[in-house]
Amino acid sequence: MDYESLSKPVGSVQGKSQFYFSDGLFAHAEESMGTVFVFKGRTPFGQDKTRALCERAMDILHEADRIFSTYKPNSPVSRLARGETTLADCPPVVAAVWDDCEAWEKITGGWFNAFTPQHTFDPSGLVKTWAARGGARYLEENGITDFTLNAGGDIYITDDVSVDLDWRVAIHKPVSIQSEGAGVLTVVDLKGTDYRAVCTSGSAERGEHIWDPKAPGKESAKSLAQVTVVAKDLVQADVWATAAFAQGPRAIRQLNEHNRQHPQDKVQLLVVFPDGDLDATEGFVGLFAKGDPAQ
Amino acid sequence: MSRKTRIGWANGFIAVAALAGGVVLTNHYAPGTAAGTGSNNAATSSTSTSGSATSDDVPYQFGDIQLKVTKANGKITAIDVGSSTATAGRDQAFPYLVQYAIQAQGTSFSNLSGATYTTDAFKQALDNALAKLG
Repeated sequence: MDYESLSKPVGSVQGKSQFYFSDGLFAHAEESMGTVFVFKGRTPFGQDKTRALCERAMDILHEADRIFSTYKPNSPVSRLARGETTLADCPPVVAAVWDDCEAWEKITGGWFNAFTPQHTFDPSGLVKTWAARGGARYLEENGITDFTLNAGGDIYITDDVSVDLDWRVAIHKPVSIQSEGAGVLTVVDLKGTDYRAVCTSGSAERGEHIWDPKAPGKESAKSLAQVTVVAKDLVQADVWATAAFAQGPRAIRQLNEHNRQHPQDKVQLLVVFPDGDLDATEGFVGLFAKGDPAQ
Repeated sequence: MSRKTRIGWANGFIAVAALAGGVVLTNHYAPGTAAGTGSNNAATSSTSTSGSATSDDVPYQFGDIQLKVTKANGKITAIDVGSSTATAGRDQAFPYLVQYAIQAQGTSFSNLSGATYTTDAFKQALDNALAKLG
């Protein structure tokens, strides 16, 4: 596989998206939710159909952004937070996500919590990956099944990925990608495992935005610089990453126990301490990439 | 294809894929190979068969760490990470974890996972990376 063979964007750059296509290989990069989503892989279709499918997949993200964005003052969720509307008057999907958040709060022992210190509903810890999973499923249901999605730093890999390199995911250092010290902390290789998602939570990009749901005043979670979760499902990985970052190093014990009780649905965690030390669930060690794959 | 040709595609796919994946930027994003070498030196440079030796600062990730290697009768019995202040009170359940992470650091990859970045950060990171490729 050689992404370098994709020479330049097809057609003009439309709005804030870029589409690339060459001989069955494609990539689509588009902005939504204040970040960048990149689908890339192989397609059985021609250029026009592939592009149209990618744009429709992105529409799922744009629609979720329109409804859930807490950065858009008039989104249903923003208006809900200000008491200007009720859950019943919001699009039904808001209540569905609300229910999901309650379920995840139970599963994570309260460490994932969609209620802010100000007691408003903020499902941001889940909406991006929830919508990204929807976009990826759209492609898979419509015949594009061999690709990866990078949803602003959260990674999803399809079952049918046909190239070894696409199973390998780097984990960034717990510093901003735009900083001088940017670079790779380590690389995991998910080939041959049941895992399909990698999510990383930390304060490197957006400051201390994850609060500790169990702290008296819901203080900012500070004990870890960054966490990375590897799981079968993108939303599951994202939720556990948010929860683990809030909980701190004890999340490892909690997930080791979870994995003992759910051997078919394991979740692996890597934590980075502010001084650079690492800790991880028992099963994480087997995920570190070895050597370089034959291309 | 020459490096200059790649850089000429500043707004092209290579730039996008390079951040979302690592095909072009693997070498840039793997400064840790030096760290890997450093830690190996720590393990092998000591000629004593017993006792502890502390490596020079290893330029690992976003700071420096020291690896303290303990040997007994010529065999390595422990590798401890970090200064005493860093690891005080913490379980050293996995002293080899950092070593494994460093060993995997320089390998190639297709996607990069990190804390969610803004669009501007994404673009800035691309610019930084392309400038370094130059």
